[in-house]
Amino acid sequence: MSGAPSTDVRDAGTARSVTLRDWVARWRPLILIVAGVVLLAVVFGLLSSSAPTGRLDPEAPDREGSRAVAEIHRERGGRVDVARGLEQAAGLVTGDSLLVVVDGGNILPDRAPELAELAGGAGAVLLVEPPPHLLSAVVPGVAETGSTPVRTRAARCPAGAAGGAAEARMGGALYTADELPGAVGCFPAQGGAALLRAELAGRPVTVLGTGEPLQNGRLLTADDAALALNLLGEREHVVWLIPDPPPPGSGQPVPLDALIPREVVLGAVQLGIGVVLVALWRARRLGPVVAERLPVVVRASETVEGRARLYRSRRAADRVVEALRLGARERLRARLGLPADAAAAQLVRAVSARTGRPGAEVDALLYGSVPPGAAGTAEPSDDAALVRFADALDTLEREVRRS
Amino acid sequence: MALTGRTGLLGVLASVLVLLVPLDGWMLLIVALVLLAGVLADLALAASARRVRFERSGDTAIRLGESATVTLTVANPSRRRLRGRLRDAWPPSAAALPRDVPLDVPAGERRRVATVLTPTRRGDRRAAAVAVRCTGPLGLAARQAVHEVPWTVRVLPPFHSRRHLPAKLSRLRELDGQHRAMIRGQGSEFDSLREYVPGDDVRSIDWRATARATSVVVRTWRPERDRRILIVLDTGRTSAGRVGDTPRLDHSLDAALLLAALAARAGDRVEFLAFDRRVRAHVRSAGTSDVLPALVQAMAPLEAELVESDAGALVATLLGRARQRALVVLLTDLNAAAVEEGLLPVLPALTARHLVLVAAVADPRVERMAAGRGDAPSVYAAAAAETARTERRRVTAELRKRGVEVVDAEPERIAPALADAYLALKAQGRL
Repeated sequence: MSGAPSTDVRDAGTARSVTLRDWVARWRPLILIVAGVVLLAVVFGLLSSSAPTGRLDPEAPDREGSRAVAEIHRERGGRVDVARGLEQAAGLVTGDSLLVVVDGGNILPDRAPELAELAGGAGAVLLVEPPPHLLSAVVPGVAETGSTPVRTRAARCPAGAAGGAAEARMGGALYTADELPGAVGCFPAQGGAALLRAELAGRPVTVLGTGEPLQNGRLLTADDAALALNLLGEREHVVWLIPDPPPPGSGQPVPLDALIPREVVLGAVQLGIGVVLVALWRARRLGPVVAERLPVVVRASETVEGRARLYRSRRAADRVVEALRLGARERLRARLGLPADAAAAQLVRAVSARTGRPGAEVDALLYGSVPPGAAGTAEPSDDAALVRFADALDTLEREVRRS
Repeated sequence: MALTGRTGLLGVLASVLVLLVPLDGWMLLIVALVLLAGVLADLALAASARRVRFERSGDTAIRLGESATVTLTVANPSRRRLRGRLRDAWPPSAAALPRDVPLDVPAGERRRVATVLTPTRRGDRRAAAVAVRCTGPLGLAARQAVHEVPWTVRVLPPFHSRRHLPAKLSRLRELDGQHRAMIRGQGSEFDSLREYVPGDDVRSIDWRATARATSVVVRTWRPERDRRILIVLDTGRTSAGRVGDTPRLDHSLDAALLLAALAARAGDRVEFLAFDRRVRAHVRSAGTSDVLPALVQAMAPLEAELVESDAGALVATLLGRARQRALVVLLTDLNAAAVEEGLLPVLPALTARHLVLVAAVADPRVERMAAGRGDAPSVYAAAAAETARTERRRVTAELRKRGVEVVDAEPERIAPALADAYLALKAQGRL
């Protein structure tokens, strides 16, 4: 008959708990992936220093930062304070300090007057790439006219205005100040100037179209460095205002309905009414729901199947063997014409005579009795042995039928 | 009242109008008023749904598996034309089609609506309601009403086993002829005298008649007629189980019908009793011809009850009803617990006076499970099925030991097997 299914052998062992080794072997790919990700994260974390990164940040050492120019200013005897918000800057600015404003876009329009007030209290102001709302608030009269690519340009302005630099890499936004009489423009292009110096209430205000001259990567060229240092060197004390982005939700909320045209709202209301009408149409049933009491019907073999599941979950091999034997013995007795209460020995003799099998073998199969002295066939105890046993019983019955 | 899809469509389309010509919001009001006016006009002008009159006609009884046609006559007594939809609502298991129909009845006229029922189970199917919806001339709104128009279609047992009836009847006739023979049993009666032919049992020679005649005369006997057959159907929990696609109860009903038809033709008096803890149905035939229709009518509404049958009460009822000796055919299940605890203790009282035959429907699924081999689940199932079969055999043996005839057959075989058992008893003159 069929051999033992090899898959069941390990399963039939007594130990059911999973060892750590099994667990590791099973999850090895996942463990390797997770370990790789963690390793990469650690490596990148170590490589990237904790120094802040940010464009025009006086504490950032990367190419776009401005730590170099701030350090040079300090080496030359100056003082650079970094302010990350308007309130902080207000505590630092004095009448003798230069206020540098970068990243002005982070100051919302409703706080622009605060900045103007701050600028009014400073000795000098340098606005780097100011957005229009700051420009108009701090230096009214200066207007942005356009923009030009950053490249090496001649200063073309009165000496000293561009910090002594004859040419530098400049560009970016362009400004004019036609209404301000004392204003001086440098690095002109397209009718505007990339650097504009104006006097407002007796203090110099410089507007820079691009922050590139202040960046670490630009200080290598002599003229750019000169321009940058001279821009900062105007005062000994520099307050570098680089405002943090405003928290989300600050600023005036614009109600959504104000942005929707009135007709659309009215149309939507009518659409809603239409949908309600459609819903009313669909909701009205034509006549009542008819309920019906149905008889309970279960499969008649349910109890037998339940018993089979119980045998299986308990692995009740002994019960199974006994049930199969009982059925086989009754069928054999009927076939061999023996009475229902025939003795075991009588049945074994009759079967053995019909099939020619040794009596001990038939006895072991039908009654599970182990012949004395012989090693004997062990009673089936696992699933594979059970299947073999059932097949062996069937074979015996078939032999009796055929003989 | 009810709105129509047209109202909804207009409401949705009007949103485009409001979008394009908002008129500062006044358009919303205008659209609403126009729609409201249309709806009110429709409601005012639609034919009254409440005043519609109905009449029913059609089939009242069918066998399970057949289709019944029930016709509804819709009369419109009003002066307005009735247009709309009508739904003749039946329980789901009646499988009524069509679900609803369009309706157009001119003023003062009548129309017929036919509904075809193809019930999926036995019993009485009652018409639930008739809903009628009368749409107004604009098609924006409708008046709706629900009417009670009672009608019942009784779904009778299918009696599939009647195809076995001709064969069994010919066996019966054969029996009649054959046993106009010498065998004289308890249940045989004197038939006639005829001339002796070689081969006849010499014990049946009527010497007195022979003395009067010139030749040897023998008496002939025939199976006794006018015996009582009491068919008892167990409607307790064991009859609720589904064997194949049908509850055990329905298989039993089928077998009971074949037996009743056969016994009625054989000239026996048939009585039918359905019992679990009390009498569910009872039929006693007055004559022999009308037993089958009455039986089928009584069986139609029977359902299995989820209670344990009370064998003691059953036996008491039987003894009270049948005073003469009768063949008691008990259609139940050979459930070990139910039989050993319920029936066996009270059986002697019954067998003392009557001949008892127990018929049970075997489950072919258990047989299939018992034959299952090849893998562990099949062998476990085979063992469970083998245990069930062993119990069943034990119960059968117990019953036979007490002189009870047992018929245990699969659903397709139970009806003919029971008929055969009856014919065998009759042939043996044991009735």
